[in-house]
Amino acid sequence: MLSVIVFAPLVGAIVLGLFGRRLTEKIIAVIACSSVLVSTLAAFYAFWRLLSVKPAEDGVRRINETLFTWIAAGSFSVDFGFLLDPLSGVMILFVTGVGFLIHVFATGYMHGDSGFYRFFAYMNLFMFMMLVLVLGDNFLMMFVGWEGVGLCSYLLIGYYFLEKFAGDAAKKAFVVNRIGDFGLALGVMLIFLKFGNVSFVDKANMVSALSQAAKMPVEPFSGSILFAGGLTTIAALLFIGATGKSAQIPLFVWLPDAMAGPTPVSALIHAATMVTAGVYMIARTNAIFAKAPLALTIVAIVGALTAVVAATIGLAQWDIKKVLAYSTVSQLGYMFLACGAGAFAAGFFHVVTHAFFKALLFLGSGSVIHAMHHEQDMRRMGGLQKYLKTTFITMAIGTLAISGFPLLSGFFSKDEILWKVRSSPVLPGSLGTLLWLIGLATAAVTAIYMTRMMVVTFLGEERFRKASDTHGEHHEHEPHESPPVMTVPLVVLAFLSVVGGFVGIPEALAEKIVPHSLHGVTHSFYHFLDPVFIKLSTTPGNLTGALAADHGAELVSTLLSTLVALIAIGVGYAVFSKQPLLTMPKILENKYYVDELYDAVIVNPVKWTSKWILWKVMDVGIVDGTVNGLARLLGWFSIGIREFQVGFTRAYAIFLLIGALTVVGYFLYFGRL
Amino acid sequence: MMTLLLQTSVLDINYVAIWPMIILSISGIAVLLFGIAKDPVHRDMSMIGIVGFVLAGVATGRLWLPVKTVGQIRAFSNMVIIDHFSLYFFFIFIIIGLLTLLISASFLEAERLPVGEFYSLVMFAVVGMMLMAAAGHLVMIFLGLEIASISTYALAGYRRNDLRSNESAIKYFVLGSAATAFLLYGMALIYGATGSAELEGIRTAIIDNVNAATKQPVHTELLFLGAAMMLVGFSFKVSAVPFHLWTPDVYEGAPSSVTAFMATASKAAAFAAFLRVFVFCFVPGYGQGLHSAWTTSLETIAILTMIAGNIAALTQHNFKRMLAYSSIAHAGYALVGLIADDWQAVAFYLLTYSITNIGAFGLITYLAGRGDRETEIDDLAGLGFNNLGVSIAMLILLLSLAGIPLTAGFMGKFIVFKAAWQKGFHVAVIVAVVTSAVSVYYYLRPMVIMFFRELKVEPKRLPLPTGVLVTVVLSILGTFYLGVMPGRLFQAMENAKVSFVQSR
Repeated sequence: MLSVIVFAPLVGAIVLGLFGRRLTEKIIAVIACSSVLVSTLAAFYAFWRLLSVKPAEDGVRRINETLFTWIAAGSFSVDFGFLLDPLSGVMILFVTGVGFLIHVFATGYMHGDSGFYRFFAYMNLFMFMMLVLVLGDNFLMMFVGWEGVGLCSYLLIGYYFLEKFAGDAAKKAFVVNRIGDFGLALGVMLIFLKFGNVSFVDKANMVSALSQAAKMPVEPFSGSILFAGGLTTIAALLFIGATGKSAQIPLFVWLPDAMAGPTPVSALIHAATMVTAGVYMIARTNAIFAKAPLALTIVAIVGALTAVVAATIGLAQWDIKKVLAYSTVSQLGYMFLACGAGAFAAGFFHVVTHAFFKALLFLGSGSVIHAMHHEQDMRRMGGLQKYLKTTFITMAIGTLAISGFPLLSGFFSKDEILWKVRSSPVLPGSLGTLLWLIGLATAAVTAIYMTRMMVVTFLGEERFRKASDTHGEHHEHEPHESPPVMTVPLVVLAFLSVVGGFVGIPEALAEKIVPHSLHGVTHSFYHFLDPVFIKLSTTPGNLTGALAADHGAELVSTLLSTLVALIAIGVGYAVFSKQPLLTMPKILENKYYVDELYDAVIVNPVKWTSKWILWKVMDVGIVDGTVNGLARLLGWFSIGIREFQVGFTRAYAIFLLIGALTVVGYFLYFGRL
Repeated sequence: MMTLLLQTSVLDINYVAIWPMIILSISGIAVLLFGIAKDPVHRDMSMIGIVGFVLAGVATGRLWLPVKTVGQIRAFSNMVIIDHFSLYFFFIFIIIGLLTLLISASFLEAERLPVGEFYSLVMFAVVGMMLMAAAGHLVMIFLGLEIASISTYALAGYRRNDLRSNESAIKYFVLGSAATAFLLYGMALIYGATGSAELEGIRTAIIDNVNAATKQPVHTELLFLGAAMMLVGFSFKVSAVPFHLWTPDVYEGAPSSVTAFMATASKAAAFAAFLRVFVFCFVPGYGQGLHSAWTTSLETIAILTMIAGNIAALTQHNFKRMLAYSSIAHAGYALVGLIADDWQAVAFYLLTYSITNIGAFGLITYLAGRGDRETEIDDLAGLGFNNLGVSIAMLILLLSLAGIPLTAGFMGKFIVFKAAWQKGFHVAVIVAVVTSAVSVYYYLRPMVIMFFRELKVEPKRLPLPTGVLVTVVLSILGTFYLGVMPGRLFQAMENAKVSFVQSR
């Protein structure tokens, strides 16, 4: 059953990859979507089955499926197996569900593209890899998926490979991800060294690495523990992997460039699913992170910084997809902030709600771009709400959801994160309070830049007519609403963005606004996931954890974040509806000059070293010199040996005799001894 | 009933045990008689040959289970020993013999050479080889060797009107006779030293240190001298350095399909006898260090063989000559298994090597074209554009010869090297691995020329003959099967190990 979920998209990818070139667009679309649909249905069925499974001793419901022993080398044994538990269960639901909607949308968006089959072959392959990542029952399987989605991401960012910027962006994504992957690989190796296996679940004769970690004592909070090779080191290495895949500081620079790929790709891979793999991984390994308070603190700080830095950059972007890209980076920062504060469930809930509204926003932007004939600059838009009714309404819902408008999905998940940070038991001292303030400020900025994006794109005067003049060509036809294959997914996602939050309403709020009989539903997300996460212990010196049980304070916090969101939306609307083209600070527009900084400090020195030291001296001089010299030497030997081959039988007979005498002499000498 | 009727206790005659040889001999004679007919039809003779080999294969297969239950079948007063060792080699010879027929058919037809004699010589050679593998007596080894060798001498000179073929046959014959003399002399000395010419008798005499005839202690000098002489003889037959000098000339001059046969089946047969005598009789711990004498000297020979074979192959321009040196190098690898006392490793190695090599030579017979002339590596220029299928097949087979993973060649080397490493022959294994790396150069060069050189002249090649096609397909399938899923065969051989050790 789990195999069906995973392998259905692979079948699609293989069929499309091998035969797609000869198929019509319609058949390709049917194959691509139906393979994901099969996977989706199987995922829902598997999830339903999971609900009726008896929990194991540790209270977690699990369904295991081992296909075969993948690697067996000495004491090292890895199964090719899948694991469905609440964590992976929730993940596959939205990965397949949202994935299916985006596939459907893409059949409209990519209509008429010459690489139609290639696009869907990659997309299906991505689904397969993502599901391997999520369902793999050990670190190595996860790593395979991890690298696999990275490959698909590379292929799809560079989908328009005739354009230089697409190739460059793909390369950048690949290289930056590789830096993170080193961390992950080292972390996995260290796990194997420490625990003797890389499994997520206990098997016969084997206590999994995670179970062993869960039984270990909490490591102290000190700088030296980071390099001690214990759980903190492992956690830090894993987190380096996460910063690569999930675009956190300092490795976030690839994600905005990744928007060079087709918009459905941005929605699926670079917003809803792949980039959240880092969060999933940390949630999966919470047993390790929970024992490493220092690592958690690093995660929280990096998350908070990323959130605020990316959000402020998002304020000043003109490319509609860039705005959303920075927004994604910022929202991912929130998720890590939550994980760092020990609120894995809250962070993971945000993964889910974010998947809904960010996929919606990206697809919406895709719809806009489609309507504008691949124009992405918001300065050449404006007033589009008249032409793109459905797109406008659904995107507005998405914007409200991400801004934290009350009772929409983003409101609940973000509010929960902020409160959990405020009352975190693991962050040292009052760091929780500080990060909470940063989170609150970020929420305000988020609401402002999202409102700006909506206002500049959909409201105000129509600037696109002027724009087409500057292009020197006349688009006579008006912008047109997209076909139903594109708008229906928007509507479904908008619906999910509205109601998706109701399964995870924070407790204090639920007390006030939800009838008691419904608490089972409104808290079902947290209740369902709870057994997966191990109990946290309070870090010595923590000042914020005491608040956790204070429902009054929680309500105040909720009220505060609601006010912030509403005011920010208002401010955004007021400012940008008057001056849509308001010039933003240069430093924000230029993304704090991070790319330039990296170029100067890392890229250029590396290039110089590669060219002058590694290539000219090491490679050409030493390596090639040795190899060529050796080859020449062997050549001489070879000619030397050929000299024996005189061609006369008598000569050969002589050599035969000499050889025989040598052997006989040796034997007789040996016999004497 | 049949079994009972055919068995007489006096001479220990057991025809069932030698059914495969009988079948092949009969079909060889049948083909020969057919060839006398006025207008012999090629197709019919090929059919007889193929059926003969298939039936011999079936007969061999039917011996497998009985041998499994009793361990081994002895016949003709211990002259013939049928155990899993011999049956395994029977299979190799039968497969190679059959494929040799398949790749020769079109060549013989095109050259207007008599078919009947050719086929029957191949079949008689295979019978000789089988006797070598199943021999329980030094005389039987010699007999088998002579049957096989004389047939091959004739085959090497089969293109009577071609000087190169004649030269090849004469060189092979003269030098081969000299080597056989060494071998025979060695056998005589061994008999003198141990008082027995039966392999089991030799083994017992050495272990107990009692001459079977005189009841005196074994004469050490005679024993060592005899062993050294036999080692020289066998080393010549497997073309180990420094007894390899005949190989390139003979392989280059003989018809390509005969070269294929010599490089695979003849070599495997020599190894079978080599293993029987040295690994079975000259056991470690007895005979005043005889075992360490032959292993150390063979280790040196193996190292020299691998180095000389591989390095000389680097600068060859003729494809057949290059493969001749390659076959020398491969003999070196197999010797590494021999010194490790591991007959399974050697046998498996020979199977992988033979299966791959026969396919490669099959392609060469086809590419060499009329008169077997275009065998220079440069003649392949641009083949990749002209005939992609043949080029890719050649690529796979050469990669297997080079020992690239997923192919049979890799598995064979891996097994042999592993066995030798565990027995402590570290230097030999290191040399083997390094020279394998060197060998990749000359195996890949034809590829480079096929795919990256311009077509010189548009070649007028005929379509691929069915026989060659079948051989190449089987060879490639075998290459992948042995390279990817060798498990079943290993298991079968692991069970067979018992019978070889039991035969004390």
